[in-house]
Amino acid sequence: MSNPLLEVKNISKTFDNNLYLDRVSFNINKGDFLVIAGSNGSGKTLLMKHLNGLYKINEDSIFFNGEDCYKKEKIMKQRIGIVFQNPDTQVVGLTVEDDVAFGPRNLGLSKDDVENVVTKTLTKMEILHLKESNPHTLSGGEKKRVTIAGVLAMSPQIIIFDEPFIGLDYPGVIAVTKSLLELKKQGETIIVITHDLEKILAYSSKVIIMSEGKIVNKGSAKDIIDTVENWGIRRPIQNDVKDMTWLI
Amino acid sequence: MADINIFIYKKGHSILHKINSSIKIIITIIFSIIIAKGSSITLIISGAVLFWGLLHSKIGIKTLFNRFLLIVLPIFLIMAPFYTIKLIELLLLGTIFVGTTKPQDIATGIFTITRNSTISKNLALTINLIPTFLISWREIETTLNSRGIYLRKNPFVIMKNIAIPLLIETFRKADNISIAMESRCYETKS
Repeated sequence: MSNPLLEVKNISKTFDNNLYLDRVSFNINKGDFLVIAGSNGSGKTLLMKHLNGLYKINEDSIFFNGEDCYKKEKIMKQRIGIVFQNPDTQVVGLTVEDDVAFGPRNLGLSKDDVENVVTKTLTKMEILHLKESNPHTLSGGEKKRVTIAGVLAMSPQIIIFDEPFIGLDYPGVIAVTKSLLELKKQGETIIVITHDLEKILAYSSKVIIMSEGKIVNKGSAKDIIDTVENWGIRRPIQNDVKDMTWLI
Repeated sequence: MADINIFIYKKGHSILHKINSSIKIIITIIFSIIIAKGSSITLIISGAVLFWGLLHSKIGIKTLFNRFLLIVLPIFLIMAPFYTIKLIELLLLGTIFVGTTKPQDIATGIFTITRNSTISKNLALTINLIPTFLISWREIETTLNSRGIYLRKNPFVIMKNIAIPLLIETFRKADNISIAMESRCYETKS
């Protein structure tokens, strides 16, 4: 049997003698759509920062395609991209084009390659017409697409979305959900971190529930749906998971 | 967002947009020294050149009508007219330079001159933070207005009420931006 794309083994993290992540372990296979849910302070975002190499990890704790990621933070950042919840603090370019080019430039791509990858990514996210716009003047949904494009331009093998629906109006939620489903259709491996299960649960292939830094439940959407309220997450009003496919 | 227009790159095809960024940086530094050290006649000539630059690059005269400047500059103009004119010309020079040069070109230009990637990238990123700073200013101002504190009437009240929340907010955002940048493989090399 082949290795999972990402294997997380017993990640723990303490700050000031307080345990914020407690022996977290899980696997993701290529093409998976994993939802990590939990109430505020459950350790979801901290876990995400470990996966992206923003925090140092111990030996034998994260494996990518069977390869230990210990002391390979830059490679992890390229392989596992994060779309943060607030686009305003993720946008670093003064034009959309400049922002999307930021990651590829940091990876050392040549000027021509950067231009090609930016055009390709903006086309993929259907925002090529916004190329010269100031990202700070765009709508919430458009800004989110710019941040997704910024991550996609680095060709990550896993994309993490941190609370993708926060601060978005209904058209923004539709636009972001469509982008997520489009990426899923293209075979991208996606992790969505949220406590807003209703919008995304039906499209997930696996769900992990976190509470107080621990994984307290995992399985398919059907397996976990009846237990989510025990962990401070609102249960979607629909009884059956298949009824939650509100968009498509 | 209409007020966020100073120190922001504006796409164009003017000669000023086309000049190599390293040359533009050197010209800007020399011009800044001329303005800072200049006499009245020098200021009139440099003022005319800058006015031409502003019109030619099509950045637009509205760029300078920032609310903060409209409040603060008249006070300075009464207190110290000669130095205020110098300040206005320096602001105009900075606006034309940033308005006609892409942040990445600024970084490249500084790198060409200094051969130091840390300085060039950090400077470019500081320029990038300006819109975020202005957005925070606007948000804090709106919040204060909603509590009955109207800043426009007294520039000293502006500084008193806005400085602390603005600094806290800017540091918090700068921290989040640096995390987001780091997650996209940005690293400084010492």
